Amino acid sequence: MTLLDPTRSVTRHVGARQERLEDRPFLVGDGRYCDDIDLPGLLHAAIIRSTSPHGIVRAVDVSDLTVPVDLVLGPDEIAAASDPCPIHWILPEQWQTERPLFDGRVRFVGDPIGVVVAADRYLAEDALDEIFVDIEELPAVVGIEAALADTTLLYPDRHTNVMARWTAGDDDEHTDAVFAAADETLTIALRIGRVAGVPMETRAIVVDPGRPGRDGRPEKLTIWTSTQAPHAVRDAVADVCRLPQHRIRVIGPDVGGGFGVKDHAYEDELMVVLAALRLGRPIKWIEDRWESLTTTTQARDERYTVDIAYDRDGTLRGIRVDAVRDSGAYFSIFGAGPLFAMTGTLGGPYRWDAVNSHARAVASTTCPNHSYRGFGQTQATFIRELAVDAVAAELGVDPVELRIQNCITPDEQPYQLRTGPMKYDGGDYPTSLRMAQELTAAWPAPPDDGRRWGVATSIYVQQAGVGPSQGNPHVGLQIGSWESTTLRMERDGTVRAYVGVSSHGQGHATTFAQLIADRLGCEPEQVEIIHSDTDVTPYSAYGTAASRSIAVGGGSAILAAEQLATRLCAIAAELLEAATDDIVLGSGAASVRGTPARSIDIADVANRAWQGWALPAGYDAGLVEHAVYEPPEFTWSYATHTCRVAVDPETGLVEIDRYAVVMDCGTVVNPTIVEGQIHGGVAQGLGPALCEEVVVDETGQPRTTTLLDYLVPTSSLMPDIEIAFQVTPSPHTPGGMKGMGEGGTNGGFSCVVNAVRAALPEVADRLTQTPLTPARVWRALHPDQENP
Amino acid sequence: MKPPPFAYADPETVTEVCDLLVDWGDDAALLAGGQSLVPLLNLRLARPGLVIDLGRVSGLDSITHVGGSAGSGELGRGERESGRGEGTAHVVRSGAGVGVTSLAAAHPASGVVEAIHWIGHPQIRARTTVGGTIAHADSAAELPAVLVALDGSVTLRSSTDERMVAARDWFDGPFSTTRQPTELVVAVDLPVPDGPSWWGEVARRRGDFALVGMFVSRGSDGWRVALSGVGPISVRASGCEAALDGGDLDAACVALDADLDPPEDLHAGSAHRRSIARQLLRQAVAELTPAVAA
Amino acid sequence: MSAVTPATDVRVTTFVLNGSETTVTVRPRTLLSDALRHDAGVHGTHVGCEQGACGACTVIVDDVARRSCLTLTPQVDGRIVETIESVAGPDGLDPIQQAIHDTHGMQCGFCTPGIVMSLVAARRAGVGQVTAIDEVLDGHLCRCTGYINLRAAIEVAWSGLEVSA
Repeated sequence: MTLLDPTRSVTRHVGARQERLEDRPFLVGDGRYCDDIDLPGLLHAAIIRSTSPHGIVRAVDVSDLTVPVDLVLGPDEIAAASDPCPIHWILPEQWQTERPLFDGRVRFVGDPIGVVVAADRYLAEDALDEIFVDIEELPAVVGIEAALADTTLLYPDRHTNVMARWTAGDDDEHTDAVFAAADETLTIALRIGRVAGVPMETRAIVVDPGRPGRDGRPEKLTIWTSTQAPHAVRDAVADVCRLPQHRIRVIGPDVGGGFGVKDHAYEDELMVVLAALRLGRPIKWIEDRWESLTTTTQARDERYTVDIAYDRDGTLRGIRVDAVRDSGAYFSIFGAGPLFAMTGTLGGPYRWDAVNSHARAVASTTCPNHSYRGFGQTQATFIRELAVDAVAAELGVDPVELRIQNCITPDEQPYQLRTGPMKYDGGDYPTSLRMAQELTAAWPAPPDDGRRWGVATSIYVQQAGVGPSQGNPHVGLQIGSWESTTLRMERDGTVRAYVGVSSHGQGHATTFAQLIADRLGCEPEQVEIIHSDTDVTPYSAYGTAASRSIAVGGGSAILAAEQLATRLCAIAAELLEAATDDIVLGSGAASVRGTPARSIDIADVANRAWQGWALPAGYDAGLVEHAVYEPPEFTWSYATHTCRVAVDPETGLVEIDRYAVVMDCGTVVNPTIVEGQIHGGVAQGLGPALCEEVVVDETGQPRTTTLLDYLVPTSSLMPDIEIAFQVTPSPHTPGGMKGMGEGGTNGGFSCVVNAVRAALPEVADRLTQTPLTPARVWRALHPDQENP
Repeated sequence: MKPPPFAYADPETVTEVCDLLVDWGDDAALLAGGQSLVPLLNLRLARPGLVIDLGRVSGLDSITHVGGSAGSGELGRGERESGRGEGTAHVVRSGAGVGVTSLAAAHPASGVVEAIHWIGHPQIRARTTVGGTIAHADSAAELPAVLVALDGSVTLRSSTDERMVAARDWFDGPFSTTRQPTELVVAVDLPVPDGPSWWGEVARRRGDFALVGMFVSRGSDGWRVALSGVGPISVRASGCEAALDGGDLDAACVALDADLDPPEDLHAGSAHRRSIARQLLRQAVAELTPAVAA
Repeated sequence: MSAVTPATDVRVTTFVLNGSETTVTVRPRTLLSDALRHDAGVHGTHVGCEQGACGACTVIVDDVARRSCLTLTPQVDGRIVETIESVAGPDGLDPIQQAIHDTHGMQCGFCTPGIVMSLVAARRAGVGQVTAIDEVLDGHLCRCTGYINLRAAIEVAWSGLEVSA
């Protein structure tokens, strides 16, 4: 893979703390999110949802409806007008390969079954109050144990609620032998609670059917939606709503956070599309926060038994996990993918003789469980690091030294994983841990204030830069994961870059401009990044997710920029009567290396190209380059997180006192942006560690339906974070970026939970269920008290 | 989550409010600050036929000075820290009536002020009214516990009558008071103790409803202890008070356990809440005892 | 007997919005957040929860920061309302906005206007830096930034202000 030719351009923006180029409109209230879109004749939708966790829909009764509405679209019409939504990831023993919008049943409270359309949302909700859904109730199935019991089946033509099952890593025979040969083993049972993504902007869609074409269907269906993946939405609309793709346009306007939950088109959104097609009128639907907390796909909710085998000299030998994931009512597009990612990344930075997982995904009458920042790697990090800490405690050794002892070293790179045909792409894990030790050695001793203090270190290696498309079908993933960029330099030398990935806070408008500006010798302010419009931006089935945008999307931008730079240099060489390889770009000019007086403005070059004058042989007019980047391998960013917590044994409250991160994400395009991703990632690890939990009671009713019950971290819960960098460029990606957006969550969740366990070692065996709420911490300290 | 349909009135006198209440009774909801009612409306958990907006009613909008000189509306940490042990300068937006009896500058009712300081966040607190909070009767809120501790009272007016209800007779269940549907809260009296007072609270996050909140004061008539978050209504821990009057803190903790029957909910269990209550009591007594000795 | 607006009727509300007299005619149950966004033509105020928990909808009414999602539109009749659109001046961004930019205190931008309004009101009321960080910012939820840079932004914006600690 060709990397940047460092002599081609003299500008250096990559690596600089370039201030964000996109901020101003947002700061002054001029962001354009979905709900800011208005169209003539716009109507408003509300979703008819099940109030029962499980049942057969007998009727939708509108006989009491007095509120003026434009449409009530019921489930039978929806089923008749649609095809099932494809599921992209099919894992072993998975029968569910597609999901109809409605199959006669409801399987969680909030399951969408219809749409009401009225002049405004107030009236639409009034109409919901007058619409009665007659449901023949079936027993709720809540929790992994109830689901596995198979007493009530969510899909009665199947014999089990298990939705997928596989074994990963070393085979059982080999693993058993490794465990038998090891000096010691430990077994720990863990539960990770369910969480919700809670982007500050809820889901949203505006559908404009436009005018009918000659076949009566819309000439052009235009959709604005708060999405991470507009092309994925377009694919779903085409497949489900039975429309040809070329007549569908999906636009992602400004998006207020995604974190994984906006990576696909939801059933209720597709129902709104059907309603707009039926009415021939534009319709807007904005999810409210109750819906966001009960029907937007959720995450984690897994039960683990982890076995770890080790020798008394501290050598780690084997790690084995039995994992069950509560997938909720049905699979969304990535199915049990997060559990698969867990089993694939369980090994982490250590040398093992065996890494083995038995995994099952099971259905329950709860909200579908799907993508969220971390995507299983948060869980892998947590399980593994907790087990390693337990080994350190058993052996009475320093937990960081134990890690260093077992880490894969740089001379063992590229390191072949035991869990798949993947290799780590370079990195120095021992030094990461040593640097963390240096940071924490500088922490002042904690005060003697009656609280219990604990420190934990977690190190993770994150599969990022997803990924090689050719490998996807081998693991059951039915979509590709390459990226492309179309780059156009205008006749005045400014640049437009059309990219396949979307931005919802990551700062692509800045970081991609830095990447491109470096290759073209211009300033980032001269580069505009265009994203999220399927009419103009290149296809991306995956969108922004999986820590792939800068590595893969940015990789394609670099390739396109290098192609464009080559073209510019060739044209300039012709004009300056020099060799192409002797031309350098910088400060808006193309000049001959070593003789800066022989130069020409890049705008002149560009204009010449657009007019087609005196171009070198083999070059057509114009200045447009398109480059596709198909990653040859995954990238593997890694980091060590260390935190210190104080636990109040009387209240169970936990304060995070100190936090440090050593990060290696390869080439750092913009340190400020990367630090911001670490901050936000840690916050989304800390929340599930201490206070975020989706609770559904045994009758299937959700209990955490407002932000006063589902507690996301506030500022006072977040510590300041010290960050140090290592830089090991990936050998695979153009530019050497690895991608890291999700990693903060992996480290944050693990080290906060493990620090609480370290603070209370005598009851660590009772601190095995997250979040470690004050109630759970207190109960662990006072197990003898009845009804705590 | 939009409110359901309701009729709306924004009268300008107490008399008009009472006349409306005669016609609408318990089908009317009184809108004071809105920080409790409007969330219920938005969830459609409250479906009143009429919302009576008290925002323009004269006679309910008095600003009350607690403890001395005038101050600004923001109850900031700086003000609170400077308020300990000195004449404080705080303004409480009274909305539907606060009558706080006169205070001596030496006893700045820091417990009352501190309780108010723990209400939500500044953006919530700026809209909170004492009358509205007392009428809403959320046992997890701070001011009901303060009212109960201080043996305060609530003044009610209807189109035919005015009466005063003692704190012990006011709260009769979760989110329930002995207010009749035709009555309006026009004043709340919080008799400030003639000794130091203290508020403490443990919450999951700052600004959340308390797991347990506690008001403690020690005056010439003895100790007063009341708690929020430990039952369907604010609890006056009279057994605990008696033990404190007897000078035995350990006995007071045991008595406190007996005074409480805390609920189990999403956020904490009952033994956990009891443990937090005991810890708060010990903190309160430690803080208030030196002041008395001096 | 004072006038009762029936549930099906609309009601005129007149207020000063960002310095200009504005009239909206909406049903009284219309939340101020919705009236601002869809009837008064300012969409910088965002709706995040309609429970008062997240702070995204925060505006300033008569110099006090409050949740517009917990305000019925008629409640602001005759009052002075300020939204995010009023904060930047003809010469550029307000120091609070500039500080949020300079410290990278904003990622997706959805929670930002509410935070700006809370801080503008706090600064106007003479609230000190510590209180602004410990209490005012705590009234806002952000999912992107982890708050660290927002705390830095407050320190920057408050440096040079003459307020109490």
